[in-house]
Amino acid sequence: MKEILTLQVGGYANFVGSHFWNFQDEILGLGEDGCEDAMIPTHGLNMGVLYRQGETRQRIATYTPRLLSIDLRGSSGAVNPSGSLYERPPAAELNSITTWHGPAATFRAERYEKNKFLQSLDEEEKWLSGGAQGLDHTRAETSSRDATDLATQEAHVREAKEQERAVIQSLEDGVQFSTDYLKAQLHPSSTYEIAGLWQGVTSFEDYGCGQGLFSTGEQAEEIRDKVRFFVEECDSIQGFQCIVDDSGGFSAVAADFLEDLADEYGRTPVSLFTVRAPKRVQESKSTNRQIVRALHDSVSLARLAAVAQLTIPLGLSQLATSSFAEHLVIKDEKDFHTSAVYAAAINCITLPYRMEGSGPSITSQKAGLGSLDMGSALRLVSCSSSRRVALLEANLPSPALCDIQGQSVYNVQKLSPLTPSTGKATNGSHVAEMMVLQGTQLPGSGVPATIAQVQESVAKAGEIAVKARRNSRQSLRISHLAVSQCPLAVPLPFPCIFSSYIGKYGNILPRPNVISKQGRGGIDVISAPVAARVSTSRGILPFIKRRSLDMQQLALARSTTGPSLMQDWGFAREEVQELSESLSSMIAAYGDEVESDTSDTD
Amino acid sequence: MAIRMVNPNAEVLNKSAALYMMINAAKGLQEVLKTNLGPKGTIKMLVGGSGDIKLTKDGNTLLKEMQIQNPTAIMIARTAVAQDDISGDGTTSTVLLIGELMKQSERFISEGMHPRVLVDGFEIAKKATLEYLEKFKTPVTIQGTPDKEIISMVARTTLRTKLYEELADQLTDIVVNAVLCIRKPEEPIDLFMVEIMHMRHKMDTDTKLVEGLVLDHGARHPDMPKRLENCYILTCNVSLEYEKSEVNAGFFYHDAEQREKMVAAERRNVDEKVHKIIALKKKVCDGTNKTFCVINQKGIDPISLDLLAKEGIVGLRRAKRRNMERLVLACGGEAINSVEDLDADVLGYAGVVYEHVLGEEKYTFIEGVKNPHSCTILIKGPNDHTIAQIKDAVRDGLRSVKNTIEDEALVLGAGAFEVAVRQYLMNTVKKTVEGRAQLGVEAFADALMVIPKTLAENSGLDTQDVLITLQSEHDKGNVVGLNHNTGEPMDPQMEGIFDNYSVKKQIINSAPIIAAQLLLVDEVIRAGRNMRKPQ
Repeated sequence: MKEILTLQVGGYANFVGSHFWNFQDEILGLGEDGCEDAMIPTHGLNMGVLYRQGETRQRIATYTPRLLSIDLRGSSGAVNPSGSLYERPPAAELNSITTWHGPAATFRAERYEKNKFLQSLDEEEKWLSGGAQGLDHTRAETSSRDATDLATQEAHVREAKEQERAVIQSLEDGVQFSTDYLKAQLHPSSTYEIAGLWQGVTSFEDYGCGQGLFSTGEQAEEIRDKVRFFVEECDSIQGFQCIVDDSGGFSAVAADFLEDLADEYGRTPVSLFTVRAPKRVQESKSTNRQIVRALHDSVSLARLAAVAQLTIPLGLSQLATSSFAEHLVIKDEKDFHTSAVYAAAINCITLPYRMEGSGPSITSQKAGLGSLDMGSALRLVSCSSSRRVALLEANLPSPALCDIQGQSVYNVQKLSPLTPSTGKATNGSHVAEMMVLQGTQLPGSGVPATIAQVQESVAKAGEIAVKARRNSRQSLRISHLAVSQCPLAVPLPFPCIFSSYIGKYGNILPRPNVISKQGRGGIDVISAPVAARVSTSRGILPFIKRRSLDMQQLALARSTTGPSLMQDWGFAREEVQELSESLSSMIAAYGDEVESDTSDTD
Repeated sequence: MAIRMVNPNAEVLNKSAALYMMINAAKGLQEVLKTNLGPKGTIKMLVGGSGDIKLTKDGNTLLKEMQIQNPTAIMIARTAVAQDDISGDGTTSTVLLIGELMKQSERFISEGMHPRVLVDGFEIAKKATLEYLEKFKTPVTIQGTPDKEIISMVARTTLRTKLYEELADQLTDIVVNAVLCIRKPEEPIDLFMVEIMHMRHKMDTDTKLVEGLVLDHGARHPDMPKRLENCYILTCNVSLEYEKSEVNAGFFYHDAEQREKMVAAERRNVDEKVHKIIALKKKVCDGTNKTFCVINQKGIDPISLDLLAKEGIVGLRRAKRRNMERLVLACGGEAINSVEDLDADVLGYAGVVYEHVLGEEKYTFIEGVKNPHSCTILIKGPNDHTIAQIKDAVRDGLRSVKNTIEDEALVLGAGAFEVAVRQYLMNTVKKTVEGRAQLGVEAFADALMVIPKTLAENSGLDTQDVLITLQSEHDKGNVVGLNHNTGEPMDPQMEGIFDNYSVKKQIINSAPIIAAQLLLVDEVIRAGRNMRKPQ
């Protein structure tokens, strides 16, 4: 088994993470039911890569995500941060104080109301733990009801559907915390809330707020212990998959944390996704604020990229209007919406790490092609760790193969970036990439294409591209293709972000003249094809260059603001110099060609 | 005003309003922490928004759990928390003293006195108090074999303010023995060498000291023995894991055969390391009744585990970094970083190594070691919040013992020091001061009484009565503290109530500084964005 430990650091990262785990939960569900829908083929994934098996004190087996999520206090909303799986049930015992015989006072914070979705999960839980008795009971009931007419049964179904819609609506209206829509039950070791910092109370906006937090003895020790708990269980760990919210103080926490991690687990690969929510308010006009923002971005990149084999920045400043959202209706102000997109992309691009090893024979390739472990994938894409930052492009839902001259071809051009401020990769630049196609469909029908078909069509696309570029300089292209026949199974608590003309299987139906603003979610769309590509082309250069420039111009300038800010953040001048150099060398790795990139900020 | 020109929205509080705000914040914080103090204080149960529970009677923990927003209160809280970081205790007392200094000052300031004069008085009083502390403290001989009796007293005093008596007394022995176990002559005490491990199991009174180590993981192979006796311990930091490092990247081989060869070579490399360990085991154990246990900081993969299990060796992987150090201190031997260093000399020894399983949690006990210099306090309790509270108390207890050994002194507790120093300040020091700074000394002297006063209040006694009896008893020439059960004066020496010298010193040092800073503020400007307003 090649285990992966997922690390989620920061508010938005946990929003993305919750969606990610909901996808996994859906796949687990598929496995159990044995694919009731013929349109969804077997997934062929090894779930043990992401999940761990455990056992509670009551000897009840558990299957929980191998996950450590770090956030501020109070960010878990209505859900107990240490989870409910391993808690002892009698609540009475919890309220007695056994260690003090003197007077006692109880202070209760206002209880968060569980939303409809969480309530429905609780009910389901109760029903399950009701055990066989309850089951017999219902069965007896149904059999007696067999005689009753179909009409009432239909009414029941309709009622259930309506209830489902009400639950979804409550999510659409009021998701506040990442736990509000998380289906998975977590192990108590999976969560860590940073002491002394409260969600919504403490300001945690920039690098300075998080600086030094991890290094305070006890907290670091506790986090280390939690990581150790999961790693010790692994027979041969494949790597750490980190999702970090780098928009605020968490980038400092994550950088320190990952540095410490590298110290302890030296050769274990670390793959890093930095995520951030779209900008909600107009950035403050004050120059001071702008300098803080710019330096925050630069420092975060310099430090985070140094601790991971490969950093993939995600988070467009305007997602709803970007080319990515062609078939989506997203509200930028809802983290619940935007994070789902990034989660789908991350889920897709990490599929090769989880695929059952595929051999050369046709049968072993039935479910998936191109299984690759994390270390190899990172080494490949990063060109043996020289190019440390990669850009990610994706499609949701990914379009069906298109017909060109009677051959089905995969249209690579359709992929649009989720990495901010990317430029167009120039011809002739040397590129390493990994592309993952999930559940790609044949033209028109919505029928999933076989792996061989997809593989062939991608190859065709490549040929066409080469022909088109015949006159330009040949580029060295290292490419890895992974194909999974199973599309993204859309879970119920998935936000209603698909446009109204997206079909049940995520197929893009002819666009009507009037497009409804109402999106479709997990009830109407049960699966969707996704494509994602991560590459270290020169397209990422504008992103790094801006940060490198900011660092040079602001932090090393003669003016006072920048340098004194860096000092506040705990960097001596030499250290700033080092950070700046590390950014410059990062750029150098992409080849020193004539600057012909046309950068367009998203 | 300049700030008005820069930011018309800035809110400016003038002198008296600013002072009022400072005093109120200090009083407010004092009010919250007041009930914590002493063996009759109130324990606080904090229930979070999602139903999570925290239990605390510790000022430090409480301050960290509170969402303080008032800037003055934050400043006071930071000082108090810093107090805890430095000396391990005294958070509540610091906050109380700051609050009381502000209260006393308010009286004089409202009568028209300038804060500066008061602050000057504080300064004089503080100096005198620290000098008095030097005379008042009870020296403790630490050289050679320390007096366990007297060290126990301070630990007991601390623990009894956090836990109920029987449990406190039980833990007293545990923390004292733990510190004495790790103490090395002529070296500072490193409390990290006491491992604090917890198990959600049984009752709080099952908490115990393990002379040796308890690890929170077990062997990952079903065939490894669950119990070893007379055991060699190998502590190492060597990867026994097949890391298919470069092999799979695809750039390094041309065909399947070559790839197989590389994989095999890599595997052989790991196996060789394991065989070296097995060879050592055979060398030292064969023909004797000795057994062998490997504790590795790095990973051990299933194949290596299997090889070890076949030889009856217990192998533990991914041990805590700090446990490497502790293991060597507890069992002897050396931690090795390479199999080249393998030798009989690097092995440690334990009388017994056994595994304890609770659900999915496994614990490995390493006991029966010779001359341990590291030990484990194993905390047990029925639920997480009880365990957490005991853990906090144990930390405080350990610190108090460490402080005593390092200070080589103690201070009589139960308010005895405060009563004595107040009389000294009022009767002796005040007379030597000229002018209105006298009032500052008076304010300081009265403020110190907050400690016995709060102790009395928390015990449900009449504070006025208590203070008067204490002072008059002191004037008769006796050193007296408060008996919180009867309200009568008593001799803390007889009762064995002692506080840490360094904690007291730190409180006396820092509280007046903060109070002075707050008193000398004459303008508060609130500018910028209000954090609490939604954007």
